[in-house]
Amino acid sequence: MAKRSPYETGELSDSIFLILLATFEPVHGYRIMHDIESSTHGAVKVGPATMYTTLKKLKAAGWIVEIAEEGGRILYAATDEGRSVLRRDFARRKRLVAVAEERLEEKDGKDDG
Amino acid sequence: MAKYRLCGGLAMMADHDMEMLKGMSAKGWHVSGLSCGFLYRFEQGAPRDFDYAVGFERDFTPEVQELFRAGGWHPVITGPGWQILRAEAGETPLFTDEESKEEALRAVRARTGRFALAWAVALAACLAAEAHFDAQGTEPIAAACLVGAVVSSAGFVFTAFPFLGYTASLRKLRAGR
Repeated sequence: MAKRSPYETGELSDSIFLILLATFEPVHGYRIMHDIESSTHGAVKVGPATMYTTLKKLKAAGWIVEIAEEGGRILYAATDEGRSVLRRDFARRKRLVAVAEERLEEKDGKDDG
Repeated sequence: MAKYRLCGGLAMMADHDMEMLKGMSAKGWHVSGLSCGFLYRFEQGAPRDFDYAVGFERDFTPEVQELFRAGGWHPVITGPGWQILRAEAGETPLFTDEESKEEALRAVRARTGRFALAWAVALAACLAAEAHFDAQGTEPIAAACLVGAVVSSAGFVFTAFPFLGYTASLRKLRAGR
């Protein structure tokens, strides 16, 4: 069976998560690329084709909209639906981290004992 | 003096071609265009360590170009729905996740497939019309239909093969996961 896209499941890839998060404030593509790299201290870099393809898909999914043009650059902002999707995925990621923390602490406890 | 190398086809052998362009740049020969649609043309300069990549933007708008340039990628050759871009070695790759690359390939494959289908329909119509007018003895119209069939068959070949190439590239990308 074909793998369902994150835009259908709402289970976002790291790139989609970070790009959608960046659009909580109106922002243009170049700024998003720069902000993701600086806020993750270079751990995550988004290439320009990935950025543009993702912006197009987010727009098609109705998760972001173009709100204005500023000096030839289009400003994007998350819609209410986009914000909800991101918050749901954030909760999912937190649950995963909580499970991992619990298991790893158990294991570390056994190893120490 | 320019040098020329055969283009392997961006749909089927993009990675191979990009490695070849990188190797040529390392020797001081930088790609500057396409000749006759299938030959890369190289101009001599200082040896450089460049990376090359293919983009598949249908509309290579100023906004997209600016975004790509901001990411360090500069267009070297652009065609309808595709771009060969160059960056200093070590720059963040054009695509940094497989989902977006798959999405771009899927979009260009769908576009190419639609063109291939349209050319196939045109070819069938021209052949049917040629047979019809030939049977009626209206040879000038039949000859015009034959010319149409030749043009359509060329259009079909130049879209059907890339379509198959993009299909193979997509399968390879998915199989690599």
